[in-house]
Amino acid sequence: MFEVGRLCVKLAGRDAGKKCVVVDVLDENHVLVDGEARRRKCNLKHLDPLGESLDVKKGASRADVKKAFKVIGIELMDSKPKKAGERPKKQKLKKSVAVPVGKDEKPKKAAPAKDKPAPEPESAEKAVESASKDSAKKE
Amino acid sequence: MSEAKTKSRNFRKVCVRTVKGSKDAFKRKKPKIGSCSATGESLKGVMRALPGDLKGVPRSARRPSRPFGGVLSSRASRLEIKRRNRK
Repeated sequence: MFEVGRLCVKLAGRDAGKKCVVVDVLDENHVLVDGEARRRKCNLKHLDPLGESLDVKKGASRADVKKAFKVIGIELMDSKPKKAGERPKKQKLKKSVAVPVGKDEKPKKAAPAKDKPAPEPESAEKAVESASKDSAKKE
Repeated sequence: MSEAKTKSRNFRKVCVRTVKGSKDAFKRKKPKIGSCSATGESLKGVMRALPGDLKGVPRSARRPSRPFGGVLSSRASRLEIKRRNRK
């Protein structure tokens, strides 16, 4: 009853009520169907055979099934698979370090002044004078 | 005197524990299990919840996504589809 080319109606699932044609007989209980219903393996219990049969070869492609359905006045629609969009990249958050105010704050070192000239070393004469003054005080 | 809405049998009385003791609250009853309009048997795969509770639930989880889903049982829907195609 369910030979290749037999027009059927699906009874179960979301494709219930849609027409399909047997493309391949897989085993005693299962066939491959295609048509208004999606191309898939199907249990014979979920199919209702109709009186008509289409001119379809074993393992026919989707295009061949489309042509066969056009003969009986049914145009099959092809749904294009949706293109996967780009996933939004996760942006790493910058760590914001809280600056402590008060006790833990380290005192800043005073930067050396560049404009000030370095102190000149004392001359030998001045050193001698200062040494003589110190000795006079001690006496 | 009790409020008018509490007199309706749509509400069920629930005892709720509170800080001060216990208090009666009135909650809406869940809808009944759906039944097949052809054979009368209970429907499988139909959610039993108030419309407000179904807000976040996906459509495919609310009822079977086949034709006549949520109205006819699978057995009745098969018979109906056969009947329509054999005309």
